[in-house]
Amino acid sequence: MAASAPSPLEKPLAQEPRPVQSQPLITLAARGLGIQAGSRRLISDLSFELRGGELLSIVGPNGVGKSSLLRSLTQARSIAAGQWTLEGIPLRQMAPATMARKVAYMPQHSELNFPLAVSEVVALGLWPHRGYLEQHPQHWVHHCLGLTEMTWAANIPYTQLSGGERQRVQLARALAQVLAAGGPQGRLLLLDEPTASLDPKHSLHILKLIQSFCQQGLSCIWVVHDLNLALRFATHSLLLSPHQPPCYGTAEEVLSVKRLSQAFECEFSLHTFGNNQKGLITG
Amino acid sequence: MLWGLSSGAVTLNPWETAVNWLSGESGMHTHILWQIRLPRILLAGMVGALLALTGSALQALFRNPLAEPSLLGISGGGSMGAALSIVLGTTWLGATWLEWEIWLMPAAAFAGSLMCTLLIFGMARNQGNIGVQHLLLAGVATNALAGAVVGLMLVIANDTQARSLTFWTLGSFGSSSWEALGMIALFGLPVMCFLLGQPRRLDLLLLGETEATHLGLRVERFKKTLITLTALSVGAAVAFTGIIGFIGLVAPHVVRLCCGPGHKQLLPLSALLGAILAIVADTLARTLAAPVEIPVGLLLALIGVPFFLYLIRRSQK
Repeated sequence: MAASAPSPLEKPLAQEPRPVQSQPLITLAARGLGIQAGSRRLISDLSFELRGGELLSIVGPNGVGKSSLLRSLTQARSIAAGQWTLEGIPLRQMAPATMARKVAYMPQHSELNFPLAVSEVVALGLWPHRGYLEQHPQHWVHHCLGLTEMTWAANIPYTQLSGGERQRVQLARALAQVLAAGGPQGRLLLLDEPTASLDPKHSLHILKLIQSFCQQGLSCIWVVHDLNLALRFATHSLLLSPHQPPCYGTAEEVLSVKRLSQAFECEFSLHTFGNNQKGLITG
Repeated sequence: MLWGLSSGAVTLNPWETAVNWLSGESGMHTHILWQIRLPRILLAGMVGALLALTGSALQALFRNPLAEPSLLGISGGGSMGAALSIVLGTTWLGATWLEWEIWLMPAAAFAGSLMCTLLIFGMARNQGNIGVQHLLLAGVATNALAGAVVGLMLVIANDTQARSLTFWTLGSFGSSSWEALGMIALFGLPVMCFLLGQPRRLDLLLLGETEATHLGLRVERFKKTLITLTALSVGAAVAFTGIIGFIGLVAPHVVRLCCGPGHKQLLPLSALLGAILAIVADTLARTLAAPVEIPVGLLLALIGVPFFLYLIRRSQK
């Protein structure tokens, strides 16, 4: 790659299939990716590039492989064909510790069922940076809890929180990981339905928060069911559908009434409201 | 510890014990102290700490507070090995094995527990990864199989053999000696040191495997390391002491109730509590009905089962 990232592991690739544009840098790229869950093939021949500052929404009907696509970043065995590259390096060759300094993941539901204190959960996000981050980890933890308005819960057991509060703690943990030791530039945040359990106020709050970090150079992949949120906040979209090849492009191109109606097999209509906001309505 | 040292079939005065220990006098009491009580108490403490530590680690691995080392088939396999050696050992090897008696049974039990763990490990493997749910299922099935083999051995055993087998499965620190202590320490001490150094990695496992991987942990490698080390060290302990139940379950639980589930406190405190529990239970086992010894596993189960039921009840609320 001509434009190289400030990673010591960066190696120029001999054969780059596409011409590389100038800034911003490609953070993550999928090349001819095929994803399977067990013996079921979910996604075939998926290629896209994610650059610094982009917020990519992944939309599609249930069971089409949205979450599996995110999981394939760490579960090499679900990849049937092709590969992921992070800053030009195939993910398969990257040690989890190296990847963890660049990429953070926020699950839809955490499996955590032990009553760890909320601040302990968030502090685990700093584990990948343990060599770098020697001063004030507690200060960081509180800063990140503040970002998702969860500071009040710092000493409360995680298991006593509601679903929405847990999601905000998980986001704080992922933010702690992705913002520590260097800031959002060139980092990648993976979100699996981060607003699934959130009320409208907090959905809006955390999406504006994520958007503001994207404007500072963070890349984001966001699995989402709420198409209106995707339309409003995503810069790019990937539409997966069971019967058509994956469709990737800017959010406006991809989230068109025609494409969505085909993919979801139900009617959509697009409305523009007074403040120039667009809204999709089903049926 | 002093209490444990001074109590027993021959009661020593605690003060006298301390003086005796320090002055290094020779005599019957010193012999009891050095050759019988001290190795026994050290053994009980070490096995207790080891069971509590491996219990904590496996509970993190399974993300289930009810996990303990026996899930890996260690005690099931151990009793199978012990049963085979007790019942078939005399028949096949005849009188010549008698001088090897003290080593044959532990060796058989150790081999049995390792075999069972390997079997469970092999069944739970899928494309090089260990599925925790499969591990659980394979563990239950293998323990049942081992139980059946033990039952079969009981059927064909004579009275003496049946009695010694039953006592083995009830667990006791009675076979302690400096040699046994050394063998357990050989496996147990490095494993305990390793586990005490892993609080953050175990915390990461609590979050779930996907998140732990995203936080930079090599989850599969860590899981395999934990299982292997647990099998080796607890297998060695079980080989000499028989099945000591509930410490691996109860000690981490009590510490979690008081100090939270963070492994930084959980590991050292549950090791300490496990050691104390084992020493206290062993001392009670020796003294309550002296000179008859109550198997310590029995005593722990008598205390452990009501506590276990209480925990289940509590987790339902």
